[in-house]
Amino acid sequence: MARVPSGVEGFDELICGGVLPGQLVLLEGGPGTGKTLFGLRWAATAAAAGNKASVVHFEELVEGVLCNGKAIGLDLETLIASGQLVIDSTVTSDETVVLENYTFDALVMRITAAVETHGATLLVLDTLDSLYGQFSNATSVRSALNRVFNWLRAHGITTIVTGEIHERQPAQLDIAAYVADVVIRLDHRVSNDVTTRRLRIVKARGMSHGYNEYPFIIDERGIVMAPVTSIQLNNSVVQSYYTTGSEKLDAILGGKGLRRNSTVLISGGPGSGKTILGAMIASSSVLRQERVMVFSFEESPDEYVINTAAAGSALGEARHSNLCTIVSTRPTFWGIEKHLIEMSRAINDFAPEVVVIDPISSLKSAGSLEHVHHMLVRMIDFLKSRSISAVLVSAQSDDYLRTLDTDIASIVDTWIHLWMELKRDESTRRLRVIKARGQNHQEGSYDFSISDRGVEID
Amino acid sequence: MISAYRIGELRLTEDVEVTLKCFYAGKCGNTHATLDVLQQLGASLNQTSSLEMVDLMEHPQLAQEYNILALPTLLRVAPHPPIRLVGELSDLEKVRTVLQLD
Repeated sequence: MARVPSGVEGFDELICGGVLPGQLVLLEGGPGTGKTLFGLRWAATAAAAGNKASVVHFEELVEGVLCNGKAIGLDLETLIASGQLVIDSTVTSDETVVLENYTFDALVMRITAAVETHGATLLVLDTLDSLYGQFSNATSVRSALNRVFNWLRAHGITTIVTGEIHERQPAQLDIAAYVADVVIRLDHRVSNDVTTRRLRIVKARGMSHGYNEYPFIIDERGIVMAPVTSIQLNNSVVQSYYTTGSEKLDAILGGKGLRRNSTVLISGGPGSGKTILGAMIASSSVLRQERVMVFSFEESPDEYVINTAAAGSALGEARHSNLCTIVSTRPTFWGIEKHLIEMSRAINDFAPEVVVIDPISSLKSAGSLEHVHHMLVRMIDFLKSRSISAVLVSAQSDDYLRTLDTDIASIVDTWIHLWMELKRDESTRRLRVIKARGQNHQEGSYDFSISDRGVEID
Repeated sequence: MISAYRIGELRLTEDVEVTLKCFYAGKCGNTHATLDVLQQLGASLNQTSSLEMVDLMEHPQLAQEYNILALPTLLRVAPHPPIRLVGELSDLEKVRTVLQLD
């Protein structure tokens, strides 16, 4: 079955590739939720794919629409110049006085002309609600819209309509919601000072779709959905292993080190050596000429390199030879979804074999525990789907069975915990492998020290 | 290309050139009273002014060109700035007031 994709990154997958040709889609949401950009993206995608698309705008002048498109990287002018796209706007700056008794024949003519003259197969109407603001005779507006929708349906035109959500709107005005085959609701909300945008597919006739609320962001590259956890757990397991950089630790893990494409969690309190161990795993990877990407939330790239170099990490040289990239961001700089999206983009661009995130625990300042958990589940899923080995470092006090990590612990494949034991005047570093899926790991805890060769187990 | 005609004799003393276009679609229910008022309006305009009747059924492309949504729309093209009067016209004085012809 043919589909009409929106072109919004990550959205079309939710509805199996796009809506069905000829369907009426309602994009609804409050002001600033991204309806207009979503609609423009849909039109531009159809036009760029060689179909003809028309946009009739009720709120912005054509120049404004072009400008909006530019802000998310859409070159609408080129599409217009090549005849793939037409944009009509009903906005006027003329002084207008509306009397009683009018019909919308001209509106119907314009919409049908926008489709027929141009030969469009996809039409975007943005926003019909402004008609209700301009013309007080709601019955007249509704009957005109009915005519328009019927005509579009009869002609098999895929139509994207945007609509405001009004708290107290009489239901009978909400015509599009009844007529629409697909209703997509966009919203944005603020919690803990961080704004999160979300999308939900309220209905979608004739196709299966996800029912959750899906986070997304809008930036200069358009509307981007955060990576969504795949519905099925079908990541394949690779039966090959890589070294942690310490033969003894490899032995404790069952003899072969870490399994490729698996997720290892390294937890520990402050100063326990968890960053050093993460960097050692990364460093041994670059020595095998594998690409490594480090996300550092507490140190700048230079700090990370210098601080781990003291423990023998080769990441500094690897940065110069472009085998390693270190990305540093303050956790509070973005909301949790934005972090996830930016990280997945960076990973897609750099294509590493190993990803280190240090520390995941500081993400708590970018969102609630629950959000962080969901985000990490999606991140792990994303990494596995791309056959990337993941090293997650987490600050963790010794009552580690209680907090964040225990949630994450159930989904990671390997969990190594580090801590310090104080005996009289001496402190001893200890390490224990709590789990290592599919591997015969040693149960005990081991003393270790940190030298210029990294983590050395006694 | 516009089916244009002048209505009535012009007898306004002012020198201002007024250009009006009235957009309608065929024989809509609300055109009768409107036509009456337009007759009177045309009769009250001076020699250099014009009132064009534009049937969008014959020239649908003009709906976009003149940005017309609802019918009838009486558009004062000149003098600048343009003024739009949307809906059935029933009262000449009101029309003249809105279009600032007095």
